Amino acid sequence: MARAFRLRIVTPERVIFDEQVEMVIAPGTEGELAVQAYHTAFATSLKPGVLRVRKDTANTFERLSCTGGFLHVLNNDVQILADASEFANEIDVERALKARQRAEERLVSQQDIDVMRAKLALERALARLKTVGYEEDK
Amino acid sequence: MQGMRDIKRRIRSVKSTEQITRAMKMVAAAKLKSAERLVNESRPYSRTMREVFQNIMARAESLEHPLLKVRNGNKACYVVITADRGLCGGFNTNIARLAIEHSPNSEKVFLPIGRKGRDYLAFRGNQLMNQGYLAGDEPDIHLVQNVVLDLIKRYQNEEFDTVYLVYSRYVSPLTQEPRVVKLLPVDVEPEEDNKGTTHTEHMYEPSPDKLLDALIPRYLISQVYRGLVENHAGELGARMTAMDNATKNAEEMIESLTLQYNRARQAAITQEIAEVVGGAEALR
Repeated sequence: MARAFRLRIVTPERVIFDEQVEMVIAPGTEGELAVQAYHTAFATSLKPGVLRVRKDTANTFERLSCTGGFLHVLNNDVQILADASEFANEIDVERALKARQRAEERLVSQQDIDVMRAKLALERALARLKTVGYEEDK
Repeated sequence: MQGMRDIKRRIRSVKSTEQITRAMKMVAAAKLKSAERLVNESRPYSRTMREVFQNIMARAESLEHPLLKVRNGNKACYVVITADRGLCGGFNTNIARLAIEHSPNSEKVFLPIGRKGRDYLAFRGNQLMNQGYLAGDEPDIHLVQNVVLDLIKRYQNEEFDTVYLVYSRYVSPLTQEPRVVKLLPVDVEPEEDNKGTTHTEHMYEPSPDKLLDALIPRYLISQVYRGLVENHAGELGARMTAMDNATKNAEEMIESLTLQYNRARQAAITQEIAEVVGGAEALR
């Protein structure tokens, strides 16, 4: 673990993750990005998607959902400010499926709805589903 | 002196009140623990959020952003967070009063979160933005998100020129401190306890001004949410103290009533003896 750094994933409600890791891959608004140790000082916003975290090169990636937020790197210390985030095994698939359906119906019906909001809801649902490996390619 | 039976009845009534206040105190104490945990767990987010925000602001000083610009208008909106329930001493009143007394020269509209604050403000004829919201049993992040996004929209429509948040800071279970925080226009006061983190040059993606678009709403959400969380803990702390006092008062009252009761009893016995003796005396 020579090239490790501290990764913290926090939401307004609580600290989700706080450990030494080797690499994290995050869905930046300008494209997916990976952060490893000794990354330069950096800040970006995140879009809804999957966070992948690896504690060691020998390990597999752990997956967390992220419904948007920020990533901030400073002095080999990475902080992710997520609006909401869950480990893959914490995700309520049923609920995410329902949310997706609801959002899709709203977008189709086009009746006096907040299109932006429905789209965001859809993206959040898709981010969660993607995290659990549901519908990998959509 | 009151009759024995009356005193006995009063003792019984005070005792049942005491049981209730004692139970309420215990419930508040139990809930306070989880509320305190919430305060601690929500701290890293708001702290980091502020750090990131300050960092970007330090870099982006020349930036023009509608939510940063100070306007000259006189209309202010106060988001007043209180509890839904009373029986917690002066907790709610202190917050609402602070909101009313703050900067008396501006034209104010209130947005209450929490029933007690709404009732207090409405009763005194203050203008409310809408029906207000309930604080709920647990701080609700979705509620905060909706409120903040709505506020930003109204702010941009120039319904008001400043937005303040009024809530009670949670210092300890015994102390809550009502305070006013300015939400909009956003001004980031330099950190007092700057832990030697000189502002390092950052790379930003996308550009700092675009980043602000995403950052400001979240910054506000984290502030309001934090207010809600601290207020929730403060409410429980205040209730615990209030109910503890009530229980103590009830105990005191029972004590003095018991004393009175015993005196009355003794007096009755003495009188009875005197009567018996007097009767015997007369028969002689």
